[in-house]
Amino acid sequence: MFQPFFYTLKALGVPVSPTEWLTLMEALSRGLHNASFQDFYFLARSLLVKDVAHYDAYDQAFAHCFRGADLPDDLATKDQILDWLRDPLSPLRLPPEELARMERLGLEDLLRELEDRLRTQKEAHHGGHHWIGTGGTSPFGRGGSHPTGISFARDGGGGGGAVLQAFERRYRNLRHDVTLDVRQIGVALKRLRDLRQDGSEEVLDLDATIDKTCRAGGEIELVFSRERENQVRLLLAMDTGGSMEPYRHLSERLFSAAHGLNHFKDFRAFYFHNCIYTHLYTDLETGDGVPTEEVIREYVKRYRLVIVGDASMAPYELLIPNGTLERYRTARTKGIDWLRMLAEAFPKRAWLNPLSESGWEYYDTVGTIRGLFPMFPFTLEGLDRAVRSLL
Amino acid sequence: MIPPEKEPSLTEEAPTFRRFTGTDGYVASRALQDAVNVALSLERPLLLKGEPGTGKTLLAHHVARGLGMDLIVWNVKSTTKARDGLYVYDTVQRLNDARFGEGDVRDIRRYIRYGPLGRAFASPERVVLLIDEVDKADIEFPNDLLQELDVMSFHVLETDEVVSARHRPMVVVTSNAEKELPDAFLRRCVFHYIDFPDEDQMRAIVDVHFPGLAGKLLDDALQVFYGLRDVPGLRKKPSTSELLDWIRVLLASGARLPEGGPAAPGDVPFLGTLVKMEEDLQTLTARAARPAADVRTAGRRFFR
Repeated sequence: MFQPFFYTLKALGVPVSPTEWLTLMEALSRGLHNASFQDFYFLARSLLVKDVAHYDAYDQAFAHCFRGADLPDDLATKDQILDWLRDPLSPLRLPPEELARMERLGLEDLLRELEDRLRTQKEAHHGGHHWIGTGGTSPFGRGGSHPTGISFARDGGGGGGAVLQAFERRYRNLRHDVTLDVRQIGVALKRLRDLRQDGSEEVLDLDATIDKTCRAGGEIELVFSRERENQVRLLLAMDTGGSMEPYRHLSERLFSAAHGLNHFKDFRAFYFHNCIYTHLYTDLETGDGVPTEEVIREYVKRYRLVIVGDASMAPYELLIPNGTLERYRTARTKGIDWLRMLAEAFPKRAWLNPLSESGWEYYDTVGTIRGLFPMFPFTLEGLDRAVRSLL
Repeated sequence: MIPPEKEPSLTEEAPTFRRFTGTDGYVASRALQDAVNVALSLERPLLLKGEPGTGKTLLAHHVARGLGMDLIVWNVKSTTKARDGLYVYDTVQRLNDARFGEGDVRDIRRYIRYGPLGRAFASPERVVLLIDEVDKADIEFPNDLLQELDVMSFHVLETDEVVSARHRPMVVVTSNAEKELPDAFLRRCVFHYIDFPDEDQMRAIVDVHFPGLAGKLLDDALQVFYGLRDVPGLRKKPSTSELLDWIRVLLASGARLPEGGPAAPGDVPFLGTLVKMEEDLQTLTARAARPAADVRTAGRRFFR
């Protein structure tokens, strides 16, 4: 009887698992809702929703299922999905008979079907086939316009962008391949450590104590050693805005993971636009910043530098003086020279690129920057490699 | 849509089941009461999140008091290991006793010290176990506890004994959301987010602590308090516990609040009770002129 509620919650992005659902059923069978509508609301929320960020979605789903309220407009319904598919600007262009067949499917089946197609495309893509030009046989007419996110959209155009956005929204929850969450990043970053004995001698070294006691013929000899501490200091610089906007959440997660981990000896974060020039910024809203030269002087050598950016820009932005796109700033030094200075100052450094590795070759600047920074894709596997290279 | 109306007969189904309705020292919202009772009945850990100072830790104390159960507190620190909660084998004491011929060294059981979780399991009565600030510990800490919290028993390697709970304790876990908790852990919990109390709830809370506190002072105090909370950019907003401290100081000193609300932060008596970070005091005094960032302290604030 409550099944639609479960699916509405899932559709609205609340990660409800069957375990939690069964727990709710158990609670209901024990009468924990006190035959009260309000208590049922609280009961279900406390068991199904584990993050305050989802309370709002829960409210929407609850209002929809039990009070007949409208769902938010941006939620994908079958009609909307079919509308997107019919849209001539859609990245997924289906022949009419396919469309007709899809119209007969239920919402769940329809989503599953679309997901399958995405997966096949992804695999084929990784396999190195060229998608451009295979139009006739493939349902995916255009090169690389991957609806789940990464797009090298050659010609944006307002309408096309909206379609992509809508798709991204809908499929986000259906992806089974890895999307990095804060926790996964945290676990990966934990490996970035350089343990040294540091601090006061306060930890009892049991093995040494027993050994020494035995050697002393049973006379107790306590041996204390120093606690081991992570010596890694991390400096994070993130490209924001512009072409990086789609990956903003990735940068934010990396930041919160590194920040929340309490794992590094020190952790500092800066941001920049497009390429690093005279200043690194500390506050997204006010644009407070510090000169890059000072950052280099202050943090040189002792810190490990991680830069997050797509490294794709117009060549002049990197290679000629005054290439900066930032208004009110002029720079005599070329972007590439700033990067070179950073590369020289930080022997342990890595560049995380949210673009998928197969797309790097399309940008000359990626290749140039790879010459200065070891570059890794910003995926779980890429992050692992980056961490290993930083050790 | 709602299941058929039926009088709940909780007491008959579970004779030991008791209901928590708040205590005279703690005002619990309906949602919070429900969450506590669900956790009690389903015997699952109750995970509490919320702004600091909203009474997460205090709740466990009052659940224990309200239900007449003992409370065992486990304060989690950054160095805490899941094993510490179960038991510690006191090798040094045993070595020492062996050296000086004290006690029965052959009985290893004498040197097994139970941790908070171990004591909660071994207790003859049902107890409340508070695992405070679970996110302070290592990122894997909650996962390491999954098995123990699920089956409510653990194995002592040294004595080859299994300690299992006679009564599953009521486990209250608090978190400040510094780290994300693992999904597997979350799935087993009853979750409640303690909202910051609105003005009416706050009056009820203040009334519990200062019964009969007269209208004008309370009105003014709450106005200043919620005014401060609305200031954008504060790193640490004043919380309930700070409001209570502040009212206590105001009452003790007999200080008066300025008429018509304070014009500048300096007008608020004992502002230090409410605003504790130097940086926030600066934000308050000079909201207009932001000092330029210093490279030595820069880079700490981001994505607020």
